[in-house]
Amino acid sequence: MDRKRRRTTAADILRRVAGAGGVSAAGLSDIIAELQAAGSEVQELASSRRVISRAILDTFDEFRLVLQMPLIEGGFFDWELLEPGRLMAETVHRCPLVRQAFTAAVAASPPSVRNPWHLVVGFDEFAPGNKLKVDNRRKAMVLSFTFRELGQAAMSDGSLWFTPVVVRSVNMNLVAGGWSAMLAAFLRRFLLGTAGLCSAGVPLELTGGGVCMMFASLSNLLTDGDAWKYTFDWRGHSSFKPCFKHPNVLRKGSDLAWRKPGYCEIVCSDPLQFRSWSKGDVHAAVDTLSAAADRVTAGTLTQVRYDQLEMAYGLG
Amino acid sequence: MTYDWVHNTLQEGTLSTEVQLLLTACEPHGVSRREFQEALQDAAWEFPSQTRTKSKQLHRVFDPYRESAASDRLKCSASELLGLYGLLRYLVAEKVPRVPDLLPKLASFAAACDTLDVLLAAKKGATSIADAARSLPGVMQRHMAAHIEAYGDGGIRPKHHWNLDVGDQLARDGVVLDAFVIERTHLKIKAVADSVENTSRFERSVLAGVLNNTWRESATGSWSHALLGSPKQVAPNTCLSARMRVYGLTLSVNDVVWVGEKCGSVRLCVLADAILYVLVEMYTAVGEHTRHWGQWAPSATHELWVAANVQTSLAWKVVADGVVVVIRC
Repeated sequence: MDRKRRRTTAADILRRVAGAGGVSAAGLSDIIAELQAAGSEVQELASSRRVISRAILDTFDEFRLVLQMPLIEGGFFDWELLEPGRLMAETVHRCPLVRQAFTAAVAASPPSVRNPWHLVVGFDEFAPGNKLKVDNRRKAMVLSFTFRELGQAAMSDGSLWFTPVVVRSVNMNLVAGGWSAMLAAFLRRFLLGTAGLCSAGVPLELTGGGVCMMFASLSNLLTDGDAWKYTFDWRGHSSFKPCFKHPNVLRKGSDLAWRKPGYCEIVCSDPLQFRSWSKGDVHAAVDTLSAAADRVTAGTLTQVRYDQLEMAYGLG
Repeated sequence: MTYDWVHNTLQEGTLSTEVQLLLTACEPHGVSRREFQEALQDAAWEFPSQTRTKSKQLHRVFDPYRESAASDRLKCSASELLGLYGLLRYLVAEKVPRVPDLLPKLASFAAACDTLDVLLAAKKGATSIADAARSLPGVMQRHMAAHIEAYGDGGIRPKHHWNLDVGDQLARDGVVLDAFVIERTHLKIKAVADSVENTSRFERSVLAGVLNNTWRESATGSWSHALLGSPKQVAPNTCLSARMRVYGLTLSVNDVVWVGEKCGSVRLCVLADAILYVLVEMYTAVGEHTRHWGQWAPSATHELWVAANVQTSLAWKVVADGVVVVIRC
């Protein structure tokens, strides 16, 4: 009789908690296993939502990084993100499969200052909530990173991408320089900071107890056309220069390409016609626009002329 | 700077344009969107277990409510178009008449599909990155030329131009980089962010939840080699199961798979001495074959394949007398 009552009670509890808060049966099974493993400590666990949220936020706070970004209107935005190097090191430490992947890749190609790994940074915007009723207040830029050395198959798995940045677009738009400035600040910190991938390196614990120092340099920025626009202050695909890489490729129907040798429109399919922008070209273009903006402020150049200059360079 | 071929090709991209223009061109010849939708709804189609649920819904791409007379692009997500294009290539070959007016348009569609074939073959390891990098510029150029011949340059967009860079990117990077995995990461973030209504410390709340979930899943998850379900031990170092996961690919019994030019149906998933295998009932080629699909018949022979070398088919269906039409890609 007692046995029957105990069984009924356990089943009742299961029925009550199954699906609570959207927890799946597999998730519930994991929770029960964790609680059973914890044994008597279960009694000491508080169960209020506040305490649970606090426990989750405490983990974030341990790895929190705050970058102060100057705002357009003056003052600063305290940008909260995860310290990328520590996030990577802790994930490798905590997750055996991630550690295994890093261990294999380090064995194949040990990172060093002279032979750094290749950092791949991907970012894109997304909007949480109802797709058909987009809430622009919560639209956010998400940035993740991984390394090319982890290999094609492993790189297609989300477990090997680390996500230290989620930032609302409305905040991005308030910052002087927008996403472009924020990405620059993030990369400066991650690559050139005191424990940066290009400076002191990031220590990673490998399978078998070994430790390696991770050194890497930025090799790929991966995103879509809209995000390129924010990133480089480029005027975008519908601008006079619809390709950021090839400044001599003009928009379709520009009626200009035929006027000057060395220019073509996007309908041209011959890559030999395309000329890439050198680093010096980009710097010169930005310097020219910057000087022109100063002249507009000083009243020695009209806004119309400045806009034309922006259009000609394809930069904003 | 890396142009993302997924956004260029599949997300309101070059292939989306190509399909929409072809569908519009087919209508005066009596082949409507409705006809494609009905063909995709055919219950005989089978899909790999990994993509079955989504693939069964692919016909929705042709729902009338998604149709827009003003749009020059097919309205669908990148993953929908990725699943659809191989099937569509088969259905176009089956249904669209070879009339002079449509021939350049069919050639342009085929060239657009070829671009995706090369990228996917490189991503899946079916061809080397170096080979793909060598062939891509030519394939992309051929597509652009074929498109202009079929439709004029009205449909050429910056994404066509950006795609011309992807071959060089492959040669430079040695891997196929794309935004699919980033979009999947968004799903994890969305799962947390959906419930964060208070935006005062949105970044902190979302990142804390995502971090917690990621560490919990990664600590117990399995993304490499593992049998799934309830494996049965049949010998000291040998277990059997109906499902397995290998390099992120889930394989199940009845999936039609490939190794090289050999094709067959999975009968059992095997883990022996820490290596995953699939026991495959071999198919023999019968009837019509192209690079992308063919007719096969089950044989009585079985082979054991190393699971890491296996590629899944896009879809298959049994037609008359047990003959199976298999769409490879």
